[in-house]
Amino acid sequence: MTAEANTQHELFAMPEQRSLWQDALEQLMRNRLAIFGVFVALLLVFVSIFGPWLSPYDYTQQNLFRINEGPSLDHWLGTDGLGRDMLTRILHGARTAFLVGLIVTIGTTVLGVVLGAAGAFLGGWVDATVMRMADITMAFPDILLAAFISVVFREKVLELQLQIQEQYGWTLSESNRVYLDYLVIFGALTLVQWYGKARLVRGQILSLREKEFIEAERALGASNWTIILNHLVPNSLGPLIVSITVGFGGAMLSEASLSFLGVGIQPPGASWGEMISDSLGQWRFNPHLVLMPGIVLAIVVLGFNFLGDGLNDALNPEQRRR
Amino acid sequence: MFLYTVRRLAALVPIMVVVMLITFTLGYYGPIDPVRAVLGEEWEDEARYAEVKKALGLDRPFVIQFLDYMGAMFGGNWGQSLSSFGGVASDRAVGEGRGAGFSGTSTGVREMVVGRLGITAQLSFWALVFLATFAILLGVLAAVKQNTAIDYTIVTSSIIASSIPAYVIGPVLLIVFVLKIPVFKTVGGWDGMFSRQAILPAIVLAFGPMLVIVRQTRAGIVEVLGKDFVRTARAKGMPERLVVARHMLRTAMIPVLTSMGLITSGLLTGSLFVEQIFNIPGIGKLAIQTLLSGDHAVFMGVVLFQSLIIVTVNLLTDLLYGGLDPRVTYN
Repeated sequence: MTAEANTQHELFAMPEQRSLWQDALEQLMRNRLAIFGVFVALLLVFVSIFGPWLSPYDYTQQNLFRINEGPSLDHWLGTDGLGRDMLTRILHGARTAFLVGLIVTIGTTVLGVVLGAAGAFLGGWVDATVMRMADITMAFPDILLAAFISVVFREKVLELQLQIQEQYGWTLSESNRVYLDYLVIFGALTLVQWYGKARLVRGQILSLREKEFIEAERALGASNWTIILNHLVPNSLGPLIVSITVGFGGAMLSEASLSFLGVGIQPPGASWGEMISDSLGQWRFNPHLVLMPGIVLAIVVLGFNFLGDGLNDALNPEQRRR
Repeated sequence: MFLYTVRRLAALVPIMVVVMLITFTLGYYGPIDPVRAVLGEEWEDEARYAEVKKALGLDRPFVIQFLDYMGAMFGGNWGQSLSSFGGVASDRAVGEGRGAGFSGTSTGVREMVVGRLGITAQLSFWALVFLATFAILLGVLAAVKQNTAIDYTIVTSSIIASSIPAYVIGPVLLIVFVLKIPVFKTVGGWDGMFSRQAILPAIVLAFGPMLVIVRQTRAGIVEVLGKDFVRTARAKGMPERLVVARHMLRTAMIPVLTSMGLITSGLLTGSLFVEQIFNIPGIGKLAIQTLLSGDHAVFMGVVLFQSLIIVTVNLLTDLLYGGLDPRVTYN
């Protein structure tokens, strides 16, 4: 694209070209709330990668002589009911949140794009099947369905892991099975949240296909792939990016919700939702135990929502709110 | 329109059947063996195990069991809670905490679900009242003061209020209004919709859909700000307050009213966090309790009932939208 633009530039001495992306970036940088979102997202990435090295404690390490403490020099954010360092657990919770956000977003995006595009291009029974599947998923109360799936499959995954361990002697970790919780959550949330992107992609393709510029391209004899790569993909990328950003925050929030209900990440794994429900009984006596993971979760979710909002304003100028 | 309605209604049946099939399959392969749950310690006695299994109809093939379940659901018999069979399940399945005694009175799934829905509905009613007053007021204010600091503050704080989950806002409000400024002394539990305990949970529940209402009201009012009929109303000397209330708000309310249905179904199916925090024996609390205790019959009843609410409200919203807006046609 740039090479083409450059040659055009030389040949016709066109005025300075500004692409949608440059415009969008400029628009985004002007939005202070979106910048806050970018900052939060970057911080989350940093903490989830380097978190364990930022604190001297292990997230499962208990010290029963120092439980429910307030902030101190040793424990900057205090300790929880089992004497575990709150800061360490919050840092590790960031890793959980980020991992869930990343994998579930990849899963729903791949599923959504493939199914949505298949429905739009193939039409007929393929389209009907995809849309009915979306209708059915939408008919469920989403959190309850995800909770049900994770309860049912946790047991199955655990059995499978034990079988594998018996037969081949292979296991990731003898004592800590938190990684199985991750697997279950990834699956449950992907199954519940795929349909938004499928409907979005399908709708985008169907509406773009009817536009005059596509018709013109077709009349000029462009092949299907040229139209898809040069027009359909770039034009539907904006809404998809917004949906991915919002979905990322949504997936992290759903993980926290499931863990809060006791069907997500199980102790000793660290999740903000699980930390809140763990300390909820303490709100009268040690409010900071409930507040700290809550505030962190709120900031992260807000950051992603602001970022999604900012991206929407920047990338989809035609539907910008007044 | 009539034909369209009938066709849409008919399309709901296969969707509900598949929803039922998925729910039933999950319950069938779920980790809790109902026979074991009913028998408790006795389950190792093979003869007794087989006997109970037969009595519960669990020795039949999957398909027969599902068809039976589906038939019974459509016929209005949603099955029995595990707690009706005695044994260990009953201790865990029965509600906990203050005011949760309701669940002990009946063990029929339908009675339990419908009974608990009543509490959630009362809570949702107050949330809707808060939304219909404060959120609409804020939306109007934001629109009238369009693109000023007031507008930005209202919209941004609604985004904040709606983004933060109930299980963060709930504890924060508890800490502020019980510990720091002791407005409320007793919290948690349910004591009827006119007790003081209902205020905090209803407010927390109302936070979620706040943004939608504020945005829609604001957008609706902004849309009519420069319209002729508004100018005419002003020109004939009508006070600004009445122009907003009588002319602008009335036009702007159409999208808000149509989205009220979706918001109501969202409240009824999304109250579980609020109920969990404030220990309110509503339908969401029932779902979580029975999921964790393995009382799948009740849990499945809640899921199916909520699905029914969701698909019905979606359909009604579509139809209402057509009824209110003459530009929408069906063919």
